[in-house]
Amino acid sequence: MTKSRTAAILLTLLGLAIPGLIGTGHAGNIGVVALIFVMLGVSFNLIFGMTGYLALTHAASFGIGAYVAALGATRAGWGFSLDLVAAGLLAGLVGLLTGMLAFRRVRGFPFAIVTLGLTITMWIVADHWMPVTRGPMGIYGIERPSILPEWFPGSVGYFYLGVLITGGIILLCWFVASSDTGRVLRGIRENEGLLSALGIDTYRYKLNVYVLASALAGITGAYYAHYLTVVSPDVFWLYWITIPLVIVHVAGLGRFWAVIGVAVGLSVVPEYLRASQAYQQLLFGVALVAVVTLLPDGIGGWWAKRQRSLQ
Amino acid sequence: MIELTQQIVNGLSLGSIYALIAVGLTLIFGIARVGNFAHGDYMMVAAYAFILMLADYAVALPLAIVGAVLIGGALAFVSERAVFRRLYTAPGTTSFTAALGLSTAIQAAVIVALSGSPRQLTSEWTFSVLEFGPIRLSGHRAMAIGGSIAALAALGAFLKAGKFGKAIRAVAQQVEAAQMVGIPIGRIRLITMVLTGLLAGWAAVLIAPIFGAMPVMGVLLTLKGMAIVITGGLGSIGGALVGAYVLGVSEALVAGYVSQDYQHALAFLLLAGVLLVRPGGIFGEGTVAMELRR
Repeated sequence: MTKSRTAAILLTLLGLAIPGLIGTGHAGNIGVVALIFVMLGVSFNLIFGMTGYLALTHAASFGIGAYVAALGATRAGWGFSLDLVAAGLLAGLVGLLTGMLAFRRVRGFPFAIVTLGLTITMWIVADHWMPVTRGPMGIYGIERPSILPEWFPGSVGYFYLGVLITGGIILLCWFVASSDTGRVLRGIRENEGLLSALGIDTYRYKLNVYVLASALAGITGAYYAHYLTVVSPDVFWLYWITIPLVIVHVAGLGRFWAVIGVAVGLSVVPEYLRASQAYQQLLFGVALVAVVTLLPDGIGGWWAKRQRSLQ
Repeated sequence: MIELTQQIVNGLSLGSIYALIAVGLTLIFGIARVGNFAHGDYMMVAAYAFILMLADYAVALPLAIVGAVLIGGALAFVSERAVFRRLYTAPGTTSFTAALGLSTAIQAAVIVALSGSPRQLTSEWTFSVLEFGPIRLSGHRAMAIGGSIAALAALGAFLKAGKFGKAIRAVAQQVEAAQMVGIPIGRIRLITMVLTGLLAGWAAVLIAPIFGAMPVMGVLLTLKGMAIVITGGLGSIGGALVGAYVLGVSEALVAGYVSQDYQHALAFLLLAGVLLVRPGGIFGEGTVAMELRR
């Protein structure tokens, strides 16, 4: 194993151990946010980073998952696991319906607008559908899962539960990305017309990965709901729309491990700028513009180029 | 019947605002293949500036109007020079992503600078209500219709007659050919963007007395504007105009007869519906692939 890979693994293990070692709920909170960023980044990378389709419904899937978990926990008495599964299923289903319309009809800029329009529509619905979502007041009282062991205080236990979930998601996405399917997806970003001409049904690949990414975002939303214990229409708004975008762009489109690293790195922003979400939004907005104009290949791309040129 | 007419009249004023935004967006798209998501935010900043100038700084009305319009143009100028100019040759949706980031940043900056509070113009600025029989039209809504038509007519004349107008149309139709005959496309793109920024500033002046200003108003307007532009056909000014008024009137009807809450979602439902039938938009090509050029 190469030195840098060993170092990366050791660092990861250390990073995972830290919240347990520090032992405060605060440390657990930071860890949980980092995990959520990682889950969002990895799943968004699967659709946008690899195929190049700007599917801005990621926040919609995230929000759907959050609301499903919220309603399941507070109205239907569901447990944590059922919440997660239901969130993933419903988000995936909505993704399927959206994908069937969008992938058959549009690509590029109109595709982005159609998906963004859907997300904002969700926001409008969540903001006004009082009997179900309670509008801007949101749904509160979502409890932490009772299966957590009592060893760790506060959010730390929830963090380690999240590590299991995140690990599973990373494994799944890694499996897809490194398989032949992954090569087709990357090909779609490079030259979809050529793949079509070679007889590959790109529509099917796009739809499948999109449903998967949506389902994973839904599961992430459920995890988020149980962490925050409150869900409001904000989950559908620009904050959660921009974050996966920033993560994937800063890391470099399609750069699997860089996405994880950048996600963890960026997750300190909500912590340090906790005072004002507006400052966070400002930072993320500026970061997005800067990265797109100045470093279009992202950090991962820059690193890879550097590695190549050093050989 | 009267109720219906009233709603339609309201819808026309709404459509007039949408028209200003949509025409600006489709113009930029035709010229530079840029989906400028920050366009509505130029308008939002100009609206805040307009209200602040009138209410807080006691600026004379004509000066405030000119100021707001110029602010819209200035924001567009800076955006083009700093951001979009580098992205004309970037693939696909890159410029749109940058615009999204820009929009987010502008909104956040406004929230930080002004503590995010929405602003309204006080009643001393309210004009009297016009009455045509039983139909009531607030002076501001009438001005919105009139002001929008005037601005769009001026724009149309400019595009048809002047040298710049011809150059803009040439670049929109065939960039390479325009380059070959010596049209400076960089400058044309900058001028067009500033023009649409001025248009956005004018829209702010018209809309501020009716709806006030708040940080998120730009996003909703831009998104609806883009839905209109795609539905009408990317790059088609006529499509944008028709789509804008259709949406305006439809929204007013939905707000009046169905539900006031969900009217904003109408634009996206219409978009989805149209795309199901004609992927290129009503006035665009009827084919599937709306590929952005590299």
